[in-house]
Amino acid sequence: MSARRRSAAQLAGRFSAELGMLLAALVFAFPFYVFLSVALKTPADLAASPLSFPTDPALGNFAEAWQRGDLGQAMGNSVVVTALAVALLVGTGSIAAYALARRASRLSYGVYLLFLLGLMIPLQLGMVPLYQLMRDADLLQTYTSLIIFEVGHQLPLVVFLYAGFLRALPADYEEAARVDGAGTLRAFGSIVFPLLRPITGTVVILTSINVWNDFLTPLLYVGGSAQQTLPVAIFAFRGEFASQWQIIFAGMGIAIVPILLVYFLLQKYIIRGFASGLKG
Amino acid sequence: MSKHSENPTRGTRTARTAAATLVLATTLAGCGFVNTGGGDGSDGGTSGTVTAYVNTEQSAGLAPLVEAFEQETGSTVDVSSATTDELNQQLRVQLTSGTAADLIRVSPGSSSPVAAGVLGRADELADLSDAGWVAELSEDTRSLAEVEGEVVAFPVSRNAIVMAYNREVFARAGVEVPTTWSELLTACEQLSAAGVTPISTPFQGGIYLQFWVYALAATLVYAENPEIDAQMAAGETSFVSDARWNETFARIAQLNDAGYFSDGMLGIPPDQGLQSVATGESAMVLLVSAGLPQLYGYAEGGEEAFDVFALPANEDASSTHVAIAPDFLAVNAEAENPEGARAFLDFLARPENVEAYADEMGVLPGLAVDAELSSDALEPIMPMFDSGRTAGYANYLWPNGDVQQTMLQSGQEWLDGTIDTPALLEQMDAEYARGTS
Amino acid sequence: MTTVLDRATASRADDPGPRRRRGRRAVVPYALIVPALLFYAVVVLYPTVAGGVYAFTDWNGRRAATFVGLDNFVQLGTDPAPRSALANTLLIAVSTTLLQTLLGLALALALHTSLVSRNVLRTLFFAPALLPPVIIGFLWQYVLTPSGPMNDALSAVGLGALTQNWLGDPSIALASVIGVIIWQNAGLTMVIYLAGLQGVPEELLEAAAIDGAGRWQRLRRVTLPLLVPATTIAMSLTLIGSLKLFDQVYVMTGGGPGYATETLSVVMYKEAFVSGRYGYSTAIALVLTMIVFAFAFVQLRGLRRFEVDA
Repeated sequence: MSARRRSAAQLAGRFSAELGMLLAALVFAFPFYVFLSVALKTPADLAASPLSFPTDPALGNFAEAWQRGDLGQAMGNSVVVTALAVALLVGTGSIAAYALARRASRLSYGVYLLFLLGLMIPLQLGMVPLYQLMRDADLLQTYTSLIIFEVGHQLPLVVFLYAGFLRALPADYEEAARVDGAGTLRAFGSIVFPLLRPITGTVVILTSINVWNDFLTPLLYVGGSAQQTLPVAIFAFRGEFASQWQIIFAGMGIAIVPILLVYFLLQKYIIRGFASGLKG
Repeated sequence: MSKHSENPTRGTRTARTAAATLVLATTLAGCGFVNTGGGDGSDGGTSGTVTAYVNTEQSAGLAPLVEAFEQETGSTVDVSSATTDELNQQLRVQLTSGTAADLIRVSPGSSSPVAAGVLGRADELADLSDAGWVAELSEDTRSLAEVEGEVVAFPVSRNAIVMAYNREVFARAGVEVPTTWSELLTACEQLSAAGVTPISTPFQGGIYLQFWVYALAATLVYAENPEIDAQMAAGETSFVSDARWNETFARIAQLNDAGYFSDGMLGIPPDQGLQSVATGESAMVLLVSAGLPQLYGYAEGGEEAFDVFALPANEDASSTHVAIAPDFLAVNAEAENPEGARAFLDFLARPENVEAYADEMGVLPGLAVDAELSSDALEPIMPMFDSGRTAGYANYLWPNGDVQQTMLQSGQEWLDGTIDTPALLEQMDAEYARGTS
Repeated sequence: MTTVLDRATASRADDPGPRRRRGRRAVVPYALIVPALLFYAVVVLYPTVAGGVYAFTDWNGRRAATFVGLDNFVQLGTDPAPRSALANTLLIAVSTTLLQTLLGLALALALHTSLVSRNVLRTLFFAPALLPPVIIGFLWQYVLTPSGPMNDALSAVGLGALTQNWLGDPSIALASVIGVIIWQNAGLTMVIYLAGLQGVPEELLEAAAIDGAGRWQRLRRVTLPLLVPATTIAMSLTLIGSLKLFDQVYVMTGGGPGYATETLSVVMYKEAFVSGRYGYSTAIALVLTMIVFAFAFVQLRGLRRFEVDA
């Protein structure tokens, strides 16, 4: 086979690969298209043809969803809960994983396994006792109850990711720092934590997604109160506007914008973080 | 490792930013982090605040009345709402944990873990027997509101199961409103021939399937044998051995087998089922009267496009009964402010307020007071209502919500032909037995 | 999962591992674990143990619980709902884990190349994993109704013969649910594989090519063995997630039609919050926990052997 023919074949192959992927992407994106086109339609438009693109985009749907669903308040709540829970997760998780990864004892391995158990236990098992614990602490219908829950609930994943990364990280720098007289916490804060940036990126993305999207427990703890988060508000919304799909979809659209934003800002970390986690 | 060894101060900055965010957020939203003792019912009855946890529909109907009550008494009614499903689930946990509101929405009879009968027997509801409005309870409502001789629930309104039809579709196919079962079959035949789906059956999730059972049972079972529940509870008869129950399900099967129901009914959600009647693809749909406003909303002509009739079940038009259901509010036995809660119920029981609520929601008045309704949407069934040809939903006096749950889930298998009628009834009997043992 | 980490640590024999230097360095205090452990104990450990006890009682949320021994587990064996839920849960777990891993791998291999559109496509394929499961449920419920967009689109492109009552036909509802779950999470698997692919040295592939290995052989002999750690993580996360699947099913079908899409999590939820049988519900939760443990264990064993052979 001559060089020219091979490159022509390669080009054709490339082209068909590119085309194939675009086709797959189209199929994959179809529900998103439906999402957007429904959210932008007037009721009449929707009834006439569910599939066509809206002739005259009804941006008013978003305004209506925002106002009638009181989504501004819910979004504020979600931001507060997510930001604080993620900050606490990064803080407590990274430092715990540091101790677990640097102590090669049977005890630390046992504690590590104990954390991993949390990935497997179904939430429902402890749902009622935890609810009653929150009640006894008079924390129901507060951000605090949700934040505590989310931190405890997501910690296994966070410890798992950090510990994996830390085991691959040579201890040379921090030991050098400690030889220079820095305490453990100083060494961690100034040397180790900055080195953890790629995995911290991954942790922030994954836990933000999980906390932001969580539904069942927030429904139980803050449902119907002024502290309710976005998915809870959207769920109530679905009940209230049972028939108005365009408003429901517009509301759901609003609910996912912030999480998409976080993703776009941090997306370069996610593959890198996983890559380093896999190496370690 | 080169990509890890970036400037260490970046990390510190991240930490500092995080800390700043934390402080800022805490300051901004300070009040949401701890319960300060106001507005959530945890304040030991120090103020004139009544807390209420109701379903979405009640919340809409109560809103203007709450305002009027607050103006008149100077106290506050703090209403939270959720869909009925969500409310039932949360209320159970809240009652168990002692965090429930003063006024709560409870289901009638024993139809769910938070039904008046279930909670009443467990002494979780306050006894309201000495309230003035107790005298105005109608017989069918009283039997559901009363537990062991105590009235424990207040009927905010009553709903009826009605068949709503598209006037234009009926007229085009030359169909008269059916008053007997064979007339209904004829009507379906004519509509089918005219190219429309005679009956819209949005059975996804099963909610609309149960209306069929209750509506037919009102005439076929309860009108014939009002003692059926007592007999079943005593083990004297059962679903599978009672001829009337068998007939109820046989009627549904007859319509299904004749192809008068929507194609793919198990995948059709309620809103699409209603929509198809509004657009004229289907001719009629069996629904609770509370769903009528939603149906009207789908048609250009609104209310004028539709009318209702009572679902006939046999050949004697004068024996047709309507299935009706009260919508209850009850006072939590451990209410922080029981006096306030009772006062609000007394306020709701005033004839003008009963009327206002019914008008607002397009439902029947909860109490048998002289109410003049401005809407005539339910006019065709009022004669039955006035002459007492009504029966409660069949499931209310079943021992728990599981019989109904089984009926809905296994009922879908039944409609699909996976199981036959005796098998369905036997499964319901098994749940019934489990509930009474 | 832990084995991956152990193995990874062991494989870096040339790297100065923590174990070796223990003697020399100052010890990192265990106290650093305390804050995390505190959260974890309050939110997960205590409630799980406290709740697990109810599995052996008839607690219904109201009256005091009575100890009933193994009655709940006996009942579990005879009830139709949990039994079909168990079968469905296993079917969902196995099929999503296999299909999603294959799809994720295929996407990653395609997008690890120099395709012009790769960055846009990576984002697109990952996007569903960002959405709240509740919203995924609502969206697909709408898309899959008999006269909904899916069937409309199929008819529009001439595939009208393929239209289905996706969620309403008991014989295909479960397949539809599985399809939705894969649609949602394939992007996550893809990202994990993309990360794994970064660890496949270019030189190794080139060397194999010089030795005359074709594309397929390079994939099989070089790339895939190096992707085993990524596979372990991807499969573990998928498996555990799909065994615990709740939100999407609850919103889309509620377990119906009939019992066609019932999963253990959904039955568990209904028993507790619709029927008020907490004791029974907890027993189901315990069984689910055992299944998750068993699967995770078997899977890790299997994959580990696979890697040793490779």
